[in-house]
Amino acid sequence: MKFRGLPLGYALSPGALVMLVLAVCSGIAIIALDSREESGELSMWTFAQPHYDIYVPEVNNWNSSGKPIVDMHLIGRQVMDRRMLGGFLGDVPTADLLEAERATACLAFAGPLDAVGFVDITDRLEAEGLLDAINGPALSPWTFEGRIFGIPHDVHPVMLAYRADITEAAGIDMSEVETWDDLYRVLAPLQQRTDNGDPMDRYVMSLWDSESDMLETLLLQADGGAFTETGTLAIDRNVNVTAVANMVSWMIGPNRVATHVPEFSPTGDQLKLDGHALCYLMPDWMCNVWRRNVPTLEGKVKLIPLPAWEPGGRRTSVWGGSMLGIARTSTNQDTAWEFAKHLYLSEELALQLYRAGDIITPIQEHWDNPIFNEPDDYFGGQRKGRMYIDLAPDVPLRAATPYFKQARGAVQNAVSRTREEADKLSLYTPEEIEPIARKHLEQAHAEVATIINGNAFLRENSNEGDLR
Amino acid sequence: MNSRPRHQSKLGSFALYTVLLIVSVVVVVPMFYLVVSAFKTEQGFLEHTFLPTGDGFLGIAWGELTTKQFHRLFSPEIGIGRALVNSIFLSSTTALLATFVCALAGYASAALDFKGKKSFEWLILAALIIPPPLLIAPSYQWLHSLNLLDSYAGLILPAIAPAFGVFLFRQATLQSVPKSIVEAARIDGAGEFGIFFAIALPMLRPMVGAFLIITFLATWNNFIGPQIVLQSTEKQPLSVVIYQTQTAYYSDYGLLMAGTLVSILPVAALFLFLQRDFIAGLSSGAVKG
Repeated sequence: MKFRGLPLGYALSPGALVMLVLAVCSGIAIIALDSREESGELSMWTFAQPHYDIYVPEVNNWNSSGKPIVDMHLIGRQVMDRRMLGGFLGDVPTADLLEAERATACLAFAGPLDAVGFVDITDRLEAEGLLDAINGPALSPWTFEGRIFGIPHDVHPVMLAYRADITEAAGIDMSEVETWDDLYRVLAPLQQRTDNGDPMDRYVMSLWDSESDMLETLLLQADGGAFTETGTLAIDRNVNVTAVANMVSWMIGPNRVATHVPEFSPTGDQLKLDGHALCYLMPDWMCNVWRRNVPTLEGKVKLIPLPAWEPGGRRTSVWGGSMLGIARTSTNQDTAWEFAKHLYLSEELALQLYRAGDIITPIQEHWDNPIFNEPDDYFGGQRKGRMYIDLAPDVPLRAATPYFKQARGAVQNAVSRTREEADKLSLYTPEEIEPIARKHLEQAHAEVATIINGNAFLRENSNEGDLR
Repeated sequence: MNSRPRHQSKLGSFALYTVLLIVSVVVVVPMFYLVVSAFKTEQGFLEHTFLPTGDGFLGIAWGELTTKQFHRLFSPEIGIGRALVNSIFLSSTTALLATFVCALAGYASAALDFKGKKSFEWLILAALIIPPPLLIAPSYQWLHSLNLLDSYAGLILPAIAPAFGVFLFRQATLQSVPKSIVEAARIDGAGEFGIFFAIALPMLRPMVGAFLIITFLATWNNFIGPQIVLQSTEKQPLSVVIYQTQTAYYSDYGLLMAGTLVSILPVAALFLFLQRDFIAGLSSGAVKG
C-alpha cells in the first residue's frame, strides 16, 4: 500500500503563504533597488545625522577629485562604542576614520599608551603647524599621557541664556551680572507664585540634581570636576565640595532659585515656553536645539557669558564634544590623515557647521570669517557666534579618561543625596551644606576608585595613587 | 429565587465591563496620542496634548494638521520606503526559515531516536537560559570570520534556529502528532522527510502560524542586531532608521511619531489578518497538557 499523507498545501497556513509572498516581493524589490555601489578604499563612521548631512558634499568633492574613495557610514552611538572597542581590543574590523563623541572616544583610553586604538597624531600636528591653529582647550579631551589622538570637531563653550522678554519688561539690566550671586540677587524678584502652593511657577535658574551634564559643566567652570586635567580622580577635592554645596543651596529651602526643566523632552520644551525658568546653561550646539524645538521663543532669549563663581573668575565652561580619529588598524593611515584634514580643517565645513548647527569651529584661523559677526534673530539680534568665539580660549580643560561617565554618575548621585539630606535637616546655606556634600563626594570618590582599580589592564601601567 | 443570581450576574457583568473599559482606555489613549501626534506640526506637538483646538468641526483646528512628517519620511532625506522593504524582507525571510528549521529540529527531537538525543535536548534547554546580549560579541566575531558582516545573511542566519523555537515545536509534536500515526506511516514505507511534510507539518499548522508571527514580530522589532551587523545606510531596517531621525542635538517628535506609526501599521495589519492562526497556535499548546 502506498503511503499518502495530508497534502503539503494544508500545512501552508495563510500565515506561511503571506510570509512567502512578502519574502519574495521584498526580495525582488531589494534586488531592484540595490545600487551595487563599490565600497570605498577608506571608510569613515560618524554618529550624528547633522554631521553626516554636512559632510556629504565634502565627501563627494573628495571622491570626485580622483583621490581614494571614501565610504561614510552613519551608525548609532552605542553601536559605535561596541564596534570601536571590538576593533581596538579584538580582531574585528573598524572604519579607518572614526568620528566619535567624548563618551565613545574616551573608551579607547582604558589601557596604557601603546594600547590606544587611535593613531597618535601629535607629531603630524606639530610637523604641519596645526597645533597652534587649533583652539588649545579643544584638544584636551583627546590628549592622553601627553599625546593627541584626535582632531577636535568643536569647542562647545557655554553661555547663560535668559528670557530677555521677561527681564527687559521688568527693567533689569543683565550686563551688571558678573557672578552667580549677582544673578540670583538681580533676578530673585522675578520669581513668581500664582497661588499659595509650593513650588513656584517661575524660578531663576534651570538646574537640578538629576541633570548630570549641567552639574559637570558648573563643576568644570569652578575649576573642579571629577578628574584633574591630567586624569587623576579627584571627586572629593575642596573646590567640588564648595561648588556642590552652593548648587544644592540653590535647589532647596525658602530661598530656592533653581528648578528642573529637562532638556530634550516635550515637557521641558513646554516649561521653557511657559518661562518656568529664566536662565539656562547654553553650549553653542544647544542654540540649535532651542531654535528647532522652541521656535516661538525667537527674539525672546538672549545670551551673556556664564556668571563666575567669584569676581574675576571664569565666565564659561564646556558641555559635550566630538573628535575625528584614525584607527591604528587602518592600512591607509596616510590617506586617512589627508582626508581628516580635508574634512575638519576646511573653512567651508566650519561655516556649514555654524550655519546648520550653531557650532563654532576649533580652527582659529576661520574665526575671522564675517559669518560669526552676523546678528542672530533668535537671540535678539546678538552677534552670538562672536560671543562664543570670544569665550573659546577660556574653556576649561578636560581629561581623557574612560571613567568620566561613571564619575559623572557618581557625582550626580552625591549631589542628589546631599540635596535630600540637607533638605531633610533643613540646612539651607552653603556653609551648612558643605559637611554633607563632603561626606557624599568622598563616598562617590571611593566608588569610582574601586571601579578604576578593577581595571587590571590599567593598574599594571599606572603609578600607585594615580587613579586614571 | 432566581432573581438574586441574575442580579449578581448583571452586577458581575457591569464590573467586568467597567474594568475592560478602563483597560481599553489605557491601551487606546496612547495609540490615539501617537496617531494625532504624527499629523501635528512641531509647534502643535508642544502646544496641544491631543488634537489642536480651534473653530473647526467638533472644535478642532483641522487646518493645523499636516502630512508633512510623512512626506519627509518617504523623501530621499530619510528614505523610510527602503527601510520598510528591508524590514519586510528581513522579517518574512527570518520567520519562514526559522519556522521551517525549528519545526524540523523540534520534530526530530520529539519523534526520532538517534544517538546523542539526550545531549541534544540538554543543549537546547541550556541554550534557552543564555541571555542574548552575551552572544553579541562572539556572534560578531563569527560573522566577521565568515565575511557576513554588512549583509542580510548576517542577520538572518543566526536567527533561523532559536532554541526557544526548537523546544516549542518539540513540545507541539509530542502533543499534536500521535506516535501511532508516525509509526503507521513508517510501516507504509514513508521516509522521515515524507512523514514530516505530509503528516507532522499539517498537524503542527496552528503552531506554525503562531511561531511565524512571533518570529516576524521579533525580527521587525530587532534594534540592536541590525546596528551591529549592518553598516550600509541603505540596508538598515525601520527600527534603526526611525531611531536615527532623532539626532544627537535635537528631537523631531512629530517625525518620530509618524515613523513609529509607519512601523506599527504593517505589523498591526498582519496580526489582524493572521490572528486566528496565532490564537489557534497558542490555545493548542494551552489545552493539551
